[in-house]
Amino acid sequence: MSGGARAAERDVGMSGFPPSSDSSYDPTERWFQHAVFYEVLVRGFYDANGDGTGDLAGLRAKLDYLQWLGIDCLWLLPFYPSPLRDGGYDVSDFFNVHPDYGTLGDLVGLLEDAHRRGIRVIADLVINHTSDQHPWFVESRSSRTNPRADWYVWNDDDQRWPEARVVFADVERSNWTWDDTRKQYYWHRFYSHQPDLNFDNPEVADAILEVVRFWLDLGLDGFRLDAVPYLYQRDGTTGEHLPETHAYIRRIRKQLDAEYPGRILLAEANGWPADVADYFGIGDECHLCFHFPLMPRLFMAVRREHRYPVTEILSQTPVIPDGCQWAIFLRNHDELTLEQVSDEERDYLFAEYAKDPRMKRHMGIGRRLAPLLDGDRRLAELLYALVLSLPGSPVVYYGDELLMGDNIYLGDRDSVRTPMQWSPDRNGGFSGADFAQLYLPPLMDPVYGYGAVNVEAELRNPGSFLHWLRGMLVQRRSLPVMGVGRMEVLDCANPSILAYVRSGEVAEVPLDTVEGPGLPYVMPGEADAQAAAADSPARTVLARAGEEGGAPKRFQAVLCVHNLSRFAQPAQLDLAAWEGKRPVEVLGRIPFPVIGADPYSLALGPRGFLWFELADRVQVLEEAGP
Amino acid sequence: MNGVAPLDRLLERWREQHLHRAGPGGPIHLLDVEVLRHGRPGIVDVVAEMDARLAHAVLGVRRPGEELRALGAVDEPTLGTLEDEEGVGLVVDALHDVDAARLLLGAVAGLADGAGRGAPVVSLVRDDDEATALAFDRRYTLTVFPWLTRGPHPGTTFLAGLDAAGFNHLPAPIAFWRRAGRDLGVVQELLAGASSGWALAISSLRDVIASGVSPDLAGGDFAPEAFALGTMAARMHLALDTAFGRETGDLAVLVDAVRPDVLAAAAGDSSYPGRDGLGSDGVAGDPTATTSEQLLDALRDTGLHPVTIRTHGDFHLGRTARTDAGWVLADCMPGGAAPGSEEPVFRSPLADVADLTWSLHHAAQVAANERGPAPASTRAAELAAAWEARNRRAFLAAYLATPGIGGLVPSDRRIVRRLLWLFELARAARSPWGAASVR
Repeated sequence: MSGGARAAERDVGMSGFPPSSDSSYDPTERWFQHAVFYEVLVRGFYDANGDGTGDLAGLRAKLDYLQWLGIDCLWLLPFYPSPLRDGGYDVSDFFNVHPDYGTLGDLVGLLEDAHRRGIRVIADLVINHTSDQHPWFVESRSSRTNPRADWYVWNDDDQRWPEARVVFADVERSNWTWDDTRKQYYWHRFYSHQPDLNFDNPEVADAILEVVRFWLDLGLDGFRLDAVPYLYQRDGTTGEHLPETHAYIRRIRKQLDAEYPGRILLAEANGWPADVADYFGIGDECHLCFHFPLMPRLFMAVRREHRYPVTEILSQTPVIPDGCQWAIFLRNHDELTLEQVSDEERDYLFAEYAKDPRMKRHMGIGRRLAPLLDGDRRLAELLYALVLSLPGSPVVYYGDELLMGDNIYLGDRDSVRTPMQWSPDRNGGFSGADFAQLYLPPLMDPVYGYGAVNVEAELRNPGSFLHWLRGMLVQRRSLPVMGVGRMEVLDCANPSILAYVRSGEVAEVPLDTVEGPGLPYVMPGEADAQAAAADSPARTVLARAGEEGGAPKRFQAVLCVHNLSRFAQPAQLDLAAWEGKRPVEVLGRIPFPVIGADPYSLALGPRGFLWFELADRVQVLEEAGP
Repeated sequence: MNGVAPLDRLLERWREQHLHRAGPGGPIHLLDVEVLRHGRPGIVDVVAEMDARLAHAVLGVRRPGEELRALGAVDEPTLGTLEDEEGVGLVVDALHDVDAARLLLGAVAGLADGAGRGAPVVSLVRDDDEATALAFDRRYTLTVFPWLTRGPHPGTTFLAGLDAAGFNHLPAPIAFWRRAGRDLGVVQELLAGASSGWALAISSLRDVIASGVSPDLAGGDFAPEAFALGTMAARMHLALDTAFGRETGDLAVLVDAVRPDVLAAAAGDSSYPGRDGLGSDGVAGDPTATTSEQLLDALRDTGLHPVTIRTHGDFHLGRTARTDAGWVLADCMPGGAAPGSEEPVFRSPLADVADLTWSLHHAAQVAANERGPAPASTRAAELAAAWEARNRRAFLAAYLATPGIGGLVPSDRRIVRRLLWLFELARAARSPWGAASVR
């Protein structure tokens, strides 16, 4: 650790939230299969130095909150030096921290404090391209003969690779842009100020590996690989998903496995599941891949009130290699992308969720979860119940745990990148700076503004969405089969019912004891509940499925039933395969009637859901006691 | 088996259960008895002449005193006792007894005999006068006909024809259960995750009515589904044309046959868009016709000889299902046979189309009526009517745009519209629920 980092650790006080000591830390290399990720925009989370921009010290100061919430891994959006013309995805220095966000020392301090709380940290790594202000590009464009002349993709005309689509077709006319200095065109799959690196140049490929090693040495737990399908170009192809790209990812993975076991790669590859699954390789490429097509179909399903948009895509999702995992989400820092839906479905989703044209961004919808759902909390709970129980590791976007709103009048994708709302105080408690200094204005509207929606208020309200979601994360932690169990969609004549069973062998693995710095974090009126939770086996022992060969194992099955309709619905489920089991409702541990040979009948309230652990009768009797 | 003598008495009990009536019926004549499985549980398959119909009973023989677990809504699957080489056995309806039913697939098709990997999980998925269907291990369904035809069952020949013609919008047939020239049942792939088209349509209607906005603005829009359903219907007809060939019909004969029913239905429910008697463009778009009678005359005088093919015969939403792979024809019965007949007849494919559009109308009526009497239901009725119109358009647009369908239906869209009017009203008149709704 650098001296700067140690200084940063001393400088940052644990202000705000008392730290908690009840964390759990999964020591296994497959921790990511069970983790709940939390995507955070450093710039928008908390401003510790009062300059109007969120920073690493601010994020570090809020770790107690994140620990209390129960997330397992932070995913940081780019924090590297950048002209910030694309939210930091235009990196101008791969080996440093943007001065607005702090120093390398601040980052190291954040990582150490996060790890102490059992929270891992991964970060975006933008390897496909750089900013046009990156010294590599400045040098490359300066002449055709300089040492980095071939570090980017240059050509004398703009006609090569016409099969490659223009990703941001609404703002860019071509993937080629003329450079007046070098008198050549350079290749860019995204904005023209983001030239693509030339991975056919071995020096570039080696340099990026050095970038990887640098951040892992500092303590990062892995990377979300941005825009990973586009690394190479080949004649007669679309320039996406090329074999050379997969070969390079395998090279990164090999380095991780050899030198940094337990660190992960998460692929951002927006494509059809069968194509994206290639980024798992045979378990030798990325550990996780985003399942992009699932997300819009979740929104379609709840709007159409039938399950087929979801079950269709699930039926087309291939089995993935052992040791891999999907990453699933409702919303993220980008628009609600509609690239992976049909034209008809896109029209439908625009009509339903982007009634104002200003809500549209590129090929998607620039809105946060709550406004998308017209503030319908039951619907939000239903969607989270799905994301927490479908196969994959859930990703929560910062602020969505509060049902924060958006600002569609801000440009590009800033609509969903407004400051985190901590309190009803000035600037929503995000920053002590003058309002005019803020990187973006906080929401102040009467519905979603910080006066109405903020962490402080939701913490004090036990019935808030924040508390509900935290409780769900606790429940999910006690159901390890949600991580890697197989999934069987159940037949149900009622199309509004989406029911499935997650099942598999899970191993009981004691978690590493996490060094807790002090007082437990207890909210007013919550002491009893916290004490009870501390006694729960789920808090001290995490059952894990997968590679822990020596650990005792048990079979776990969870029945998940969801009502996608706005009305109460009956469900008759074919559970004959589970005959003799007794469903025990997860949230209340309520035993339901034993499953027989006939269809199992349930009733669900509007947008309701029920999760049941399918227990042996004897097991239920033991739980009930004499 | 020396228990043949009491079988007719056991079948009397079976008849009471199937016809939901007690008391004496006509005499029962055993025609065919086959022991499908010896021992206990044993399975005996019986065909008998009963009230001028061919009854088909699948009997299970259990040890007396064994615990019985019923499948479906029956309280007690027991029919009586018999005595065979194993001694006295308790006779049950094998299709409603869990332990006997588990052995059926192996006994009938040799697909699963319960040996080795354990008894299959069985569940009852259909039980009505047309068929009883059991699902096995969520892999297969065994459909058993309780009432047989004297020759091949039109439902199975229909299914086999579609399958042979490459129509893949159906659960693939695995085996046909036949004996002595009679179709007893069929084994098919299980339709995983299926919901009936009726259930999906009603869900959409409830959403539209609750939203209070037009169907295109309400979230639960059914139009994309109706469109896909139209494509499936057209593909079904093209496959039927391939499988069974085509003939030429006589519109004048058809008009004469259905005239009384059509006129009665046309004078009925004013909510029915097919009624069309007061439209500004005449009846069913014929400006020369100001009454239904005139339109019938005009149709009769066209001299049209439409293409006829073997049709489904009862193609309504409840016969279709939505699955993860799209729409399927879930139910092939009646296989093109007219009501009360065992023989398939050739009709214009538009008769099936009209069945489906009529079914859309019926769904709209049911959903609107759920909202209670006027005035509460007035707005609901308006929305339901808008839903019906939108989904009719979507269904027909897809059907008529399917490549190849032009060879089966008239090219003049005005004629198509009038034929649909004719078939819908004829359907309304002959359907018990249709007549009630229209009138």
